Amino acid sequence: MKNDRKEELLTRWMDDGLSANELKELEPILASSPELHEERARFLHLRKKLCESVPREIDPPFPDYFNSHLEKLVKAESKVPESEEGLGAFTAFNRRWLWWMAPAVTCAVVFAFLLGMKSAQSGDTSSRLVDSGASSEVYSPLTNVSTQVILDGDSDSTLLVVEGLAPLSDSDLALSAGFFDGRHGYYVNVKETY
Amino acid sequence: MRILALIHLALMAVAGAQDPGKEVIGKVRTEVLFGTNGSPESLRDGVVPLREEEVAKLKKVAKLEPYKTFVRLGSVEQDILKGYKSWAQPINGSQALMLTFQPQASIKESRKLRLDVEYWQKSKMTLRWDRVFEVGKRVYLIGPRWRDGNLIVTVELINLKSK
Repeated sequence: MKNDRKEELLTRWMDDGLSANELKELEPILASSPELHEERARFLHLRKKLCESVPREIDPPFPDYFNSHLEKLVKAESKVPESEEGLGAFTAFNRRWLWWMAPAVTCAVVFAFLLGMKSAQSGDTSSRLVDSGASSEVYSPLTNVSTQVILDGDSDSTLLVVEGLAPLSDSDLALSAGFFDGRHGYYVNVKETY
Repeated sequence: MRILALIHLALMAVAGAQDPGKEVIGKVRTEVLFGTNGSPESLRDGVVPLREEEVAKLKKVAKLEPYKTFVRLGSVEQDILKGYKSWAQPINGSQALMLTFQPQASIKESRKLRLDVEYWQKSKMTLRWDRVFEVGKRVYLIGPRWRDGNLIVTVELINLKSK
């Protein structure tokens, strides 16, 4: 017998809920485990004790009061005519609500927008803002690269100190040819490329 | 054959004239400097010692303070085209250090231009710098180590054509 079926039959046997066929099905298990009878006897005894100590039926407290109060409220609501005074009060309430809510909603939208911008910057690992200052921003796709912008007031120039770059070798700089001024490079049409 | 070549050249000229992105809006100079304690003679031909004022400026940076000698390894001047990304190769024959320049906005002041500068190291885009450059004011990028010293890349807007 499968364990699930066995558990189901045993549970219902404890509650006296088995049919004759099911009882016959369970008999081999009960025969092999006589301690189950003792366990069942203890359970039935405990159930009986519990039933004796707790009242069979308890009425909810003051149910009539709640029912009657609700009825009164419903009747009063249906009897009150929709006077202009009532409408005016409602409109005034709405207006006060709007006065308070409009700036609050605006602030919430601006805050959410700024939060979204910030999370977009920090969440994107492929384009990381590593430094900003002096009307400029520095990005690096490499996580180990950090920068520091130094403004030299004396010479009115800017120094960008970059840390974390891989060192270069002689072959990288084509040293064998000697150092001469470089080529003019080349141009890529931005509109066609991107 | 000559006629065909002339026609081809004429067509190219017409195409160039029709592309407003090819308008030259300024010129930028890129240099690679090197700070070292070694002898400049070991660097072979083509190196140029830096002026004292420039050395003094570089030595203010803590990372470059220990170096006694500063030389220029390479330099290139390049036009900035309005609608093109310009690639500069300051050391002749080496593609390990390259920079790109792309104008980001129209010229609002006569001597300033916002450029999107990318620093490429060994075919990898390593740094992007969005910055307003002013004519004659040099920007120094204290870059990677090489041998016993440090490489420095400079960018300077040397002229800007007024609209």
